[in-house]
Amino acid sequence: MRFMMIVIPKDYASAPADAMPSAEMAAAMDRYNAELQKAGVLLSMEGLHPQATGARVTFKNGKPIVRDGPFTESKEVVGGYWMIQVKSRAEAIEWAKKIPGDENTMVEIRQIQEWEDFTPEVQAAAKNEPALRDAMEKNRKPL
Amino acid sequence: MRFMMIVVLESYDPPAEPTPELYGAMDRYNLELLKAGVVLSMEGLHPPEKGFRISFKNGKPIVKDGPFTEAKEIVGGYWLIDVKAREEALQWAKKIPGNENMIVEVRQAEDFEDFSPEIQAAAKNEPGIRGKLEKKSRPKK
Repeated sequence: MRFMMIVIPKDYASAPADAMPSAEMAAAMDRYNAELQKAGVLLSMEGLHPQATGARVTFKNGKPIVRDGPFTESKEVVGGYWMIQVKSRAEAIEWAKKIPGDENTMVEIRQIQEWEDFTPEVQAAAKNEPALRDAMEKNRKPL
Repeated sequence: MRFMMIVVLESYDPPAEPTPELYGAMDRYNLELLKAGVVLSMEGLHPPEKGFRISFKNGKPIVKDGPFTEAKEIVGGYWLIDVKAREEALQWAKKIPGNENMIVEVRQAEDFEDFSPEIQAAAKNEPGIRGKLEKKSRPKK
């Protein structure tokens, strides 16, 4: 089972464009990341630049509308994520509990949808998906 | 430059499951991303009811099961793309077959060189971890 652990720092909605974590937090997270990697459960992870540097696209009658960040309507802003592969939801909970979090940290854990989770009707509609995933894996560029 | 296009849903009310029509449209969009060679990864997430949230008090984790009634916006899934410029990322986001219930938030992913030397020194395992992740083959089911 794959899970996404989405970091939603409580103060990230108000983060300036050049916000950076403290060296202490970066070091603690780095040790945690190494632990995930050594256990063989880590698939990918990313941190995101503050919302102030981002954009949002909404759709009205199929037409896209672009707005630059920050977005005052956002109370919760994604800061980054880990993608892990574990045997059970309980194992995902155990890994989440080990995150070196502080009072400002909130992490939302959600299971990833696998191809087999979809109905035959949806699988038929998304007919390119399996081939696309194979090609994506082969294409994967180094960072 | 890598950008994450995060699908943010304002409502997970029924139908929580998108229609086959939407899946078909997304599938064609995904194929377009792939053919252009810009997509690095993409995933959809199960509804928040099945998830949980964790917060920390004095270093102690507190687990709360979903759904998250306090949340006004819920992540539904994402694409991670690699493009030459922010403008190119916005062009791709505009092509998404979106609907009125969908917000797509476009955010640049942090690269190691984006960090100060102080933080790079603190996160000393990072380059090694990324090197190993890249070598890892597709996830086992």
